[in-house]
Amino acid sequence: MLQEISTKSKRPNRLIQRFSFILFGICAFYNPVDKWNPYNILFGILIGLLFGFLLRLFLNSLLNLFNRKSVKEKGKTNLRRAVNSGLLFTLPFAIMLTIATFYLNWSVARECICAGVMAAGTAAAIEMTNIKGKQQIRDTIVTSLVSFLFSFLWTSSFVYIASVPSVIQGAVTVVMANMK
Amino acid sequence: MEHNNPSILKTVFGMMMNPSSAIKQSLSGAKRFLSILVSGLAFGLFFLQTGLDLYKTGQKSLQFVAFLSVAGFLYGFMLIPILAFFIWIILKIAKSRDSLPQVISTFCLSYSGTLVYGLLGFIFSIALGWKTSVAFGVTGVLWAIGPMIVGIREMTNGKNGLSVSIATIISAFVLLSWSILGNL
Repeated sequence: MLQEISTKSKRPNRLIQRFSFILFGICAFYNPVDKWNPYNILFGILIGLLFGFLLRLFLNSLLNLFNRKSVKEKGKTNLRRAVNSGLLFTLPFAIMLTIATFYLNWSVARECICAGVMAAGTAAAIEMTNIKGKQQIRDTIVTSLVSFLFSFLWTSSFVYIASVPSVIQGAVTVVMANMK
Repeated sequence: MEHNNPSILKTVFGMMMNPSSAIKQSLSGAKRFLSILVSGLAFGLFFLQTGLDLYKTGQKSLQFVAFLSVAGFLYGFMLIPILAFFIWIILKIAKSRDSLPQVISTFCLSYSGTLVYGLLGFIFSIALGWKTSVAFGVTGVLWAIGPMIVGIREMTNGKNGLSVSIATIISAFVLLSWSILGNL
């Protein structure tokens, strides 16, 4: 019964997280000249989901590594709940980025993603404090470090992967032309 | 019981580094007027940079820069506490025990990051002539979201869903209203 409740409460949480990372991805690959390019959108969704998954995985693994005693006492579910709650904090940033990108025509993807991922890391550390009942600076350092590395990796990789959707589009066009 | 009230400077940086503990301290503090001043100055500097950016590109006059700075200060000094009042009503419905001054104080202090970014942006704008309203101003507003969620979460005994929803609406409102004022 308890597990059922836990799974039920986890579902909307996970959906919101995925939604946030999908928005991050779409806005990161947004092209103002070709707003609704399906290749940009689909690639953005893919990259967003991939980075979201990796961030959750790394936060879970590192917090697990540094909190072995607490995990043994209180179970892995609590640790996952802390990370999931933390990642929920990305939603306001994703909504703001979407408004800024599609309505105001600004390019603030780097700023929003950095701030959102860092806020999620800090929130995960706060959740860990609530679970353990005591504050440990090491949790804050670990989550901040992972979040910083991820936001840095993601935003700096933009330069290299920004051209991928147009390369895919070109390849698909060539293949389609040859098939005809 | 005697409370050790932290200085406003310690609270401002505490909100950036460790919002949870800074909020707990600020809830028991008495410097509520100073917390409204934090959001007032934060938005004043943010809007001032917006005006300066528009002035640098020749789109607006110096009078507009002065008007926008005053509008920004009033925005942070009056509109943010008014928004906090609406949040307090929502929190009351969610059975929070915190008083209106406590909610206003926490909400205004969540813009501590915006103030720090605003100060840095202003220095860079004046000293190096950079356009700083987006790089520093919007980034500052973004850094206010985290402490805001943590603050609401503390006041609702850990209701993440409610905190995230309120922060999303408020942040979107701030972003849109700023863009409207900048385009006047």
